[in-house]
Amino acid sequence: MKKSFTHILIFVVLTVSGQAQQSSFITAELGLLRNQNGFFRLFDGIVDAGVAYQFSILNKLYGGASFHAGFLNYQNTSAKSVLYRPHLSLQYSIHLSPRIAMEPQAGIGYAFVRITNQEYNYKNMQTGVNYSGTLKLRWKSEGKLDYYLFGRYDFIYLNKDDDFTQLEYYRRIQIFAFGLGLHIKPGKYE
Amino acid sequence: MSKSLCIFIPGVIVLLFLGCSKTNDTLVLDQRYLNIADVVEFCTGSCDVEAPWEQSTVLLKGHLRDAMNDSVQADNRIKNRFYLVDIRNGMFIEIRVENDHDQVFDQLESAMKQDIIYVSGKANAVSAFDGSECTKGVVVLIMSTTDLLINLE
Repeated sequence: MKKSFTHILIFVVLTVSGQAQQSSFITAELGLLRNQNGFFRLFDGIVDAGVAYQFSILNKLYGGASFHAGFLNYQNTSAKSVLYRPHLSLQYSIHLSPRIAMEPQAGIGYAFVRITNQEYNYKNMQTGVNYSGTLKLRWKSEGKLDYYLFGRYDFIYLNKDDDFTQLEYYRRIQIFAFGLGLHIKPGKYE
Repeated sequence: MSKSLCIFIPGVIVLLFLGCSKTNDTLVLDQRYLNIADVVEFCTGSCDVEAPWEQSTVLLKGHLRDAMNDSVQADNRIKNRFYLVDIRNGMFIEIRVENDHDQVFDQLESAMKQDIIYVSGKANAVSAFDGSECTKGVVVLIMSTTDLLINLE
């Protein structure tokens, strides 16, 4: 599953990157991460960072691939977790005014949740399907660079692993991220 | 614009529903050694109803909390209790030693920080009142030194 998803991701990125030069963009973003209940409820979210490449599919509808990494930390201990989330996504641009666009985005991917505790030499990786919903508010400019605010919700449903947990409740991970992003336009983009 | 919002907003609501919907987890407490986080989460509830896990035999595994802190361990010995922690997410559980106190604590003293402690005991409900709501949690009672194993695997 992991392997085939990675292959699909690579295939999609390579196929579209050549043909979508005229109507593609790259985004890079950094935000604060908040986790909600569940297995990591004692952890603090620290930061969520991500990059994405998107290209035009239809008028104002964009598709692409992204990769995000979210860092969680359990204060005053050496327990840490990193949530790696490669995604395929669809985004629609709604031009509210000549200067502002609202861009809802939906994504589906596969999450890799790495849990470590150095104090005990403990390492574990859990994986599962990942759905996300993002809302961006972009300030449009004439130049190659736009800025945007974003809010994102991610839901990760971990694969069953009785050694890790026998509770359904812990298999459901919810995280929220909000922050700032850069929208880089190498070609023509509305 | 309203059309796309009509698609996006229900999508996010479905995601939130997936994440927030209640799970009716069941957990067999005495078949295999369970992680602390599972036992702590499962053995909670309202003070008003008796939960099925109360007074059940429970098998659990975890690491000794504050294993290298001598003053904490001395205090544990005086109070006939110690704590096991789930090193993956920091959740912990209180283990009360009902009999064989010296043998149990001598055994724990020999444990290294990274040793996994295996416990077989009785799940006992304890109440906590936060001013408005009374909730039940769990402590585990062990009766003898045979209920405790170190590094079984």
